[in-house]
Amino acid sequence: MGNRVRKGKLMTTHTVTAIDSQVAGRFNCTNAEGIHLNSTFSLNGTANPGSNLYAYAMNRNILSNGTVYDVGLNWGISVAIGDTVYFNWREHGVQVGKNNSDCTIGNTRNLLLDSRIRRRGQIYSLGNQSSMTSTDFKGTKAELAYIPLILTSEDKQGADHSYANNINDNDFTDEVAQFSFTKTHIATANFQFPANFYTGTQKAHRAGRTGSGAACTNLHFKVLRIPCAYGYMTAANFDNPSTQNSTGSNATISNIGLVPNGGYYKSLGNKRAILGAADIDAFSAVKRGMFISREGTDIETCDIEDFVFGTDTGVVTDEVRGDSQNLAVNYSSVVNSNAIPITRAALNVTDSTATISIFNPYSIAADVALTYSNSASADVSSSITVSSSESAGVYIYSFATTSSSTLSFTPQFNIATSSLALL
Amino acid sequence: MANRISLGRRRSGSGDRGLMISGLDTSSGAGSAANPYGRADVTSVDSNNKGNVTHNFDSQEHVGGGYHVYYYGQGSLASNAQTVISHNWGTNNKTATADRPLFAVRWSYSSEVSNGIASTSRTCGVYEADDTNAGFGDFGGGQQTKKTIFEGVLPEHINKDTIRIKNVMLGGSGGVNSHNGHTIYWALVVFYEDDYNGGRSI
Repeated sequence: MGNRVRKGKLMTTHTVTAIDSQVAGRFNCTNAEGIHLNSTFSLNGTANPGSNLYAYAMNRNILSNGTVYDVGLNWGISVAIGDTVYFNWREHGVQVGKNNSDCTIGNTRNLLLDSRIRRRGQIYSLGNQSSMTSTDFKGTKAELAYIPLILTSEDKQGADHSYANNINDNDFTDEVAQFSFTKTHIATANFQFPANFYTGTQKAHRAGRTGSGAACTNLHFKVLRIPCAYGYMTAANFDNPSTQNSTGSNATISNIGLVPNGGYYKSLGNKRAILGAADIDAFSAVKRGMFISREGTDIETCDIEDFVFGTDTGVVTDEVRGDSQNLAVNYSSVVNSNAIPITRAALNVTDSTATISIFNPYSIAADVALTYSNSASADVSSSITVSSSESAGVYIYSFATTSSSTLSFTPQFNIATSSLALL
Repeated sequence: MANRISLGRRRSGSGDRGLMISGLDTSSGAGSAANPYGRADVTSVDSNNKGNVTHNFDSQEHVGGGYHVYYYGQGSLASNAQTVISHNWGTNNKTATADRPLFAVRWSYSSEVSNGIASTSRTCGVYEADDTNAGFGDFGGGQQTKKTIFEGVLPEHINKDTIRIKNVMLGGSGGVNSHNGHTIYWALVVFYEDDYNGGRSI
């Protein structure tokens, strides 16, 4: 059984497997996927290398003398093949791995929580709407400073040739489930415009769903604390705080080490995680749960926007709704074959069936969105069947087709955390 | 007060291990500071001895993944232009050649961007419409015309390390139409997690 959870130092251990013989500090190593850009480096795991040099991964996959190396350090520190080296030795926080994975490797792809990451799938707001044209997802919460990424699922999905009937002779879109977003609202949209009048600066992506049967029904949405709109994709919104040495020479920074001119160093040393009763400025009263701030900030004093993890307090205006997570689609393999859980299930079906296995123990069913595409035709609705069976809580979904074409299925099982219309 | 967090084994006899945090029990409370929604008990289990209440976070074997931002970017594209973004997800994360990252693209019309900031973002998709006019009064004798519209923004994986965004706002043609399409302003987020959406933006 691998290490599933660790809190405190997030150090990763690596063995050097190849070096650039001409440039010191460039090498390949095991488990390099656990090394993020700017991860701190140590030769012994307890101290800066050399004469107190603040060393970090300045480059990942750097081309050097015709060879691509996993890492390029900011200092020319010599290592030898077979050496054990350490990254993330100064970083602290919490990491939680998927089942059958070892979180101490630091491979974020296999982690459900990695506090090194500035932006995660924290939910700001969520809701369920049986029908909708526009919804104020902010409600009584404080307004976000950006247009967020909003995950949606609804009854209507995929392509349609005639969803905007009576507009033109033919109206095709590859995705009916169109939306527009602002800082406060989610609204339905669709592509449609009378071709006779499409001139000048007219726009076809418009509010509403005018086509027959295209109305938005049974919408589930989650508003994530992740900016996703032009103008908001900036280092200020996505990167952890850092400091640049611009003194014109190498400088020794207290408790950091020798930083080269132009060098980048992290803002470390803050209290970042609280487990239990938390008296933190982001809330008006003591709350209980688990709260983690991003690197360079103190969880007790930081803004709520600096949270990388939080626990729902039950107060709507506290705007912390937990994490957005998805069910694994290979549950049987996880349990029976020690596979690592995955959400990816792009199944290609030709003339037989394909299956996925799901286990949902929660009292609320997951939001399920099945997207189909056909290599030969955009209209696949009449050529496939989907069935499910259940045994001891494990659902087996089977997909079959009578078409000779290749169908692709991409099922999503977004874990539901509330059945409220808006939370 | 309900138990909110389990670190280690969920409860005696349960095989659940890891970090589990329960969600709310909204059958009680009102969501206000004075009367918060109730908290579910993380130690509650079903007949399989698995945690069965709603969760803020769960690390059990049935949970496949979450959302950790790996890469972000933005830019503009003129009508019929495209751009290739090298995020190097596959190389940096040592993935298999066939693997692809989960991603999200949103876009805005130029009229929705002011001082470099979008006021509205939109989901991706492609639209094609055509309409044929039989001519003079639809009774013949006139020139038959076919009018078309092409609009849309199409992101797609090229390989494990790159994503292409196409602006297919081609505008309209035919008949009296004169439309040169639109410049769009795009935003991209790439996640550490694998693409579960078949190569489409979430």
